[in-house]
Amino acid sequence: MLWSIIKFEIRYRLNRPATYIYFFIFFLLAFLAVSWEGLQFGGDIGKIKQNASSVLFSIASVFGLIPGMFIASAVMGVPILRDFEHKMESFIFTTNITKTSYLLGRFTGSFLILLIISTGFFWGGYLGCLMPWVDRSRYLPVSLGQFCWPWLIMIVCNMFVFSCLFFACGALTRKMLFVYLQAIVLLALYITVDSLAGNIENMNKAALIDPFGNYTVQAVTRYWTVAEKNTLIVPFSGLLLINRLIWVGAAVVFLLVTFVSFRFRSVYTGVFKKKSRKSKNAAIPANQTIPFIKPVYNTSTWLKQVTVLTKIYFKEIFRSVPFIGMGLVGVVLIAVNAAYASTFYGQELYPLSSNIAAFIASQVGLIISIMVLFYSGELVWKERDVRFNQIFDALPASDTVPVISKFLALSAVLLVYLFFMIPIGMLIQLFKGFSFIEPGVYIKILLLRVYVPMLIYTAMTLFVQSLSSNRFIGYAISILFYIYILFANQIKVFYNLFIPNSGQTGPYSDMNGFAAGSEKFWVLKAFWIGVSGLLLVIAVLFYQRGTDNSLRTRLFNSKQRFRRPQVIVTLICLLLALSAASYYYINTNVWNRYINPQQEMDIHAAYEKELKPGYEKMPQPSVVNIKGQVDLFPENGDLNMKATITYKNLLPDAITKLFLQSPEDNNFNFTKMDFNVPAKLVKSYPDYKVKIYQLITPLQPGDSLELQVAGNRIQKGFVNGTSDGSYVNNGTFINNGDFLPFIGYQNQYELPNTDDRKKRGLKEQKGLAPRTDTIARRYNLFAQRGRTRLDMVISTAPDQIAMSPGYLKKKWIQNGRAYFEYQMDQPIFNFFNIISGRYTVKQSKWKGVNLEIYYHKDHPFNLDVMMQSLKDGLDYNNTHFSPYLYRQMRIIEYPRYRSFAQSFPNTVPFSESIGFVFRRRPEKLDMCYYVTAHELGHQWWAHQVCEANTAGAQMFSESLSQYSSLMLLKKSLPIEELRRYLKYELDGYLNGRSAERKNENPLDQTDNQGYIHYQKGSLANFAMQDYIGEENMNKALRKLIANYANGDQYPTTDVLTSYIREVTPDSLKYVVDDLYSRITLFENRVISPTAKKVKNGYEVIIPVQAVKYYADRDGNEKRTPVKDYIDIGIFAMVNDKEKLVYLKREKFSSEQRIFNITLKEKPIRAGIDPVYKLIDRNTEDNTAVVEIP
Amino acid sequence: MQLIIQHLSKTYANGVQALKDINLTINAGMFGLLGPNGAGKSSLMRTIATLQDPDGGSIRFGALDVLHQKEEVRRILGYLPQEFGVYPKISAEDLLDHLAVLKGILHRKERKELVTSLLHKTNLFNDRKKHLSGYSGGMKQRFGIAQALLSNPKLIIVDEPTAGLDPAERNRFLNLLGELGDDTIVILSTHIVEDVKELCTDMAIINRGELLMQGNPLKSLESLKGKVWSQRVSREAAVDYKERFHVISDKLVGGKPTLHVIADSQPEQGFELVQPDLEDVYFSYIFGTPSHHHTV
Repeated sequence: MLWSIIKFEIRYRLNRPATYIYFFIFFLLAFLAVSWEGLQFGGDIGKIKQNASSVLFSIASVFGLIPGMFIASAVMGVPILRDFEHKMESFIFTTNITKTSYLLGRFTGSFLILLIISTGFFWGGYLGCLMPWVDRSRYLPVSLGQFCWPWLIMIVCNMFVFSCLFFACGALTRKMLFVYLQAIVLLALYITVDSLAGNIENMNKAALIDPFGNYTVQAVTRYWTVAEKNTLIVPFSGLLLINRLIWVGAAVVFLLVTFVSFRFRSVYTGVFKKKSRKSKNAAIPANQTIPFIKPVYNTSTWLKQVTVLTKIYFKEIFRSVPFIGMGLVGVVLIAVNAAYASTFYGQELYPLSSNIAAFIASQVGLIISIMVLFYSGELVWKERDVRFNQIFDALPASDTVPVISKFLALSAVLLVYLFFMIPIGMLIQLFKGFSFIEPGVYIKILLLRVYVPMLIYTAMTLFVQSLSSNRFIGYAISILFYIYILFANQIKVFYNLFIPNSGQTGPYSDMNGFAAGSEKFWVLKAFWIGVSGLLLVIAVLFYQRGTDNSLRTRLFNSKQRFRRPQVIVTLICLLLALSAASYYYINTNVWNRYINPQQEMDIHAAYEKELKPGYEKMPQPSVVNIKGQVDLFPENGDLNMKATITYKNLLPDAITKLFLQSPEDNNFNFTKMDFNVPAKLVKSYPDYKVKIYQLITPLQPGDSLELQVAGNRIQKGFVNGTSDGSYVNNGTFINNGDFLPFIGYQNQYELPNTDDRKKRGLKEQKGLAPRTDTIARRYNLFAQRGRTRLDMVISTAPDQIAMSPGYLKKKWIQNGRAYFEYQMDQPIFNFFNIISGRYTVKQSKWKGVNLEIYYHKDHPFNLDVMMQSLKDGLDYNNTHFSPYLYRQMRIIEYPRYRSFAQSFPNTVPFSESIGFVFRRRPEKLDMCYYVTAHELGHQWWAHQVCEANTAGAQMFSESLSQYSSLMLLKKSLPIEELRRYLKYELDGYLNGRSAERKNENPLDQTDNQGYIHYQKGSLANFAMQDYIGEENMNKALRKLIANYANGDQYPTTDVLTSYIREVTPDSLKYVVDDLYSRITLFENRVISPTAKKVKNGYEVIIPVQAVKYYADRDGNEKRTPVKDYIDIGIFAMVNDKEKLVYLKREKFSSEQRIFNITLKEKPIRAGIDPVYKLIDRNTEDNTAVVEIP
Repeated sequence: MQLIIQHLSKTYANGVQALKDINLTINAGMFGLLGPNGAGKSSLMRTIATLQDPDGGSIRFGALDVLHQKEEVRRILGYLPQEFGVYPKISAEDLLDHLAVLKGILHRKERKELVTSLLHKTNLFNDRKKHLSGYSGGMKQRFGIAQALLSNPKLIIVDEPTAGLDPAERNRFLNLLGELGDDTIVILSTHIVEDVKELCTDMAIINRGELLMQGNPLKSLESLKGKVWSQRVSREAAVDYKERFHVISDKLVGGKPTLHVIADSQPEQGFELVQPDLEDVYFSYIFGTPSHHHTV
């Protein structure tokens, strides 16, 4: 019996084309995932092989979600349901089938089919890897076996879980809607997991509850290096095993519940009963004549018809279960994720209206697009679905009425839903204790970022559905259409007019709104609105009316329907679309130069090929004086400048040629370039904006020459690519490279990505020169030599303040513009900025140094923290290193289109999104304080001591600035909190190394590798000062300053490590090597610590294990004997808080040790390296709860 | 006003020829369109109701060219399709009100009176607040006729309205139809002969897409007078009779087949002359010889 039901089910499925389509979808996606660069999962990291176990696991876990979950819902939701839908239940329930064999048979049959469908994963993946066009070097030897393991653990498991859930839901509710809703709930759970995982402290939680196992795989493999990813097999143990067990367990429970509670009889009508309404009875009047009215047909009839139909559809959607369900899911998502809405490094942000509105937009975006997709189909097929179409189609309403009403109804529903989100957002703000609420910001962000694009999608999907011959084909085409939009860039479609619904508002800045991209946004949207109008007209023309819908009839009808109103609307829309498109074209291709990212890379490659051989090593003079004037026109992004630049030959050889590079900015051009010595333009490379001048008399060492330049930036219109938001109405922020010539070949213009280089015939980019390269050592971090004097006059809009490094000499108003003159009284590196905006100023003083913060009036939150950080930092650095060089220090806010802080001499532009909106919580790490201190640190580490431009360079400017700020944190934070911060740094480092595209270098060889010189730099410097003492560390740094500050000597990292070595006792000299010159990893763990009560306290027994590895540059590890000093620590409760009450460094000479420690307090947790000073991939097991029998 | 159908033909994509050169002239009053299931009635009705286009032929309604002036035809049309459903979450009263707007009745108060009156007329007033999904078959059909009448149509098409109704509901429904004005053309398609007999002044019979007859029901009875013979036979014998005689109907009466045979004289001993009823007319055309294809 059971077997025949299974067979029946399988045969039923095999007869359906959908089964093969599903298989093909799996097959195709897997095929593309391994063989096409456009679709990559965790494998886009240069050296990781496309069929490495970790990559295949990632692919498999993503496929569990898309398409897995959707296919599972389609296959598993229906086996029972379909009997009810086709009213077959009475036939089946009256046969002698037993309930169990009925349910089990249907389940098993469908599930087997689902398994077969999912094997598309390994067939597609396997064949994809074998395709002749793929680059063999990017694959491990291919075998079918590789694919089986991820298939089994990820896909089969997921399919089983979904099968149980969907089967149960379908059988019990007998409504497909609930099956879909369940899928959406799972999706919502996934999004929640996604936000959880944003905070690394929750990573394990996220890994356990992720129903798709995606984050579980990520959690397991997140710290794997490239070498490990290519060799290790993802282990089916630990988190992954537990996650799978949890979900399979939950699924089995669901299945059991279904078996128990399924009613094997047909009168059961599902979980919802129909309500019936009674109306007041009234006597039936005797035969009276019907008061007929003569119908009226005119424009107002049309309007009323549209209104009444829109109302009907609106109500239909609004009361329907999927809408309520999806809507609630959206609300729940927002409610659940609100807590994590605004965090950065675990740091909370102020819930400004712009933050919360952007958060809401990101949360509901997916749900609203699903609504659009789903209800476009529902509405277009509504009348047919309920079989009202014959009456409806014979109504005296024009063909435009239903199409327009459907569009309007869906638009209205979305609008209501979005507006409903506004009070929710405000509530979140209030709950977070923040009452500065800006309704206008909500409206702006939600309307522009979500609503307008969704209206266009609505028109597009309605069009697709109206033309399709059946709803599911319509859905499929609409989904393909979404996919095309998502992957347009991957398939190398860049021009926005070819990417449907293109046009993004970009980030919202409180200083500037959407200013950075609003014109382009509206032009593109106007284009798409025009196109949508045309699509809706076509939808009207081909709208299916009546019972005969053959293509011929519809074509014939469409001609008939193309009457005056349609023609007029078509013309208007066409006019709108064409004029928007032409205007767009004029902007991007006529007023500006259009090149796509590929061509741009070609140019960079050509620059390198053509110029590097001849000019890279050519000696060039240094900038020693700049006197100039810059006129900013913030209202339109224009700029005029003139400057006199003095170049001096600081090299031992005579200079014969000058390599002058104009700013890359296509809007900027020099109009004048005059030397005060005879010079001849010998070569011009307009593609790269490079000019080569021959000096008639070579410039001898110590000699100088003057260059007079004048230039302007004329911003006309916009470009196809994204603009970086440097030039904006309020908060223009540019640096010297944007308006002054560079001198010499610029390594920074080379293509960095190895794959992109390979395609253009270039080898992997050479990193920084070795430390022994004497030529390279002549140049500093900025690839320059020497320092310059600076005297700038800047003019700007009259209500703005403009700034550059230097002291304000004079300010005045002239011709309705504000002028400022700034002068540096000592030379600085040729690296400075200009900034201009409408600012409020906060002032303070520290020992005669003027401290100023220029901020946007609505962002006063952290001014005190910033001031405090500046003062503490000045105190610390002055005391321990050297006097501050300047008489002022300024922090200036700029719009959040870019998000970094950058330290110029006595001037630090700080993005709106960093620091200014960080919310401080007592006892927690204060990022604003920390970042400010870091930037202040650069006033020493970069502006006083500047490293040579050789391997390891940023270990000075960045790692030491990290050190400066970390030392402030160390003073102000309890160790338990500091430890949280170190863990973030540790996570950042380990993640960074696992995503390394080239080679991981030791810290003293870091080569523009942020995770090394920021994160590992923090950890290493912290550990170093911890081993040898802060004062010793500072002594070494003082020596560095004494020998290298403020001169033309640039240190290399071996200098720094040797200074540190000098202050380190012999027993700890190995630490200097381990931290700075090697890649060292530990596996420290505690094994069941115990304690027993003794007199005056507790005796704690802590068995620990420490394993040490050295890794090579590819990530291969070698175990090495432990002869290290490592901390042992014990936590106890002090005033209801876990405190580290015992911390002692112990010498290890073997991997295993047991410690006996007597302690007054009652121990809670104990273990090894509790503060995370050493690099350890699993810090969870460093400490454990102490068992006290 | 007349509805004139000329040379109407339609072949569906699957090869079924639904209408073969149909010619009909329909005057004001109740017109019955008889035919078995699948005869092409609904195709004809839908074509008149502007829901589908024929391959050839023309339909004129007064001055209107039905096939090309669909918009205008829909304004004077009341259509009740054979099978229909409605939006599930809306009450009869609301839907009727909305449909009235769609039919061009804009004045709110007048519309309300009209809707109320139609609800009374169709005896749905007490159930007006109910969702239509909760309506019984008969109530739904009555709602269907109410919506068809909203715009006081000049042309009313009701397709198989009585199928599936119980006798009481059916009577109620036919009474309702019977009250419709005399200056309106009402086309009632059905496969139930009784419906036509009770209501129609004119009728047509179609089968397999062909028009078999058009005429006055009473007159058509005349033509069969003295030609219909009946005999009750045993089940076993029925087969034999069917081979030998032109049997037009074979009904069980009290469990025994009663055969009707058309013949000018008594076909055999045992046959009795019976008063022809409309059913005999119908069957005589459906199962009759081609020679009967005339307007009577």
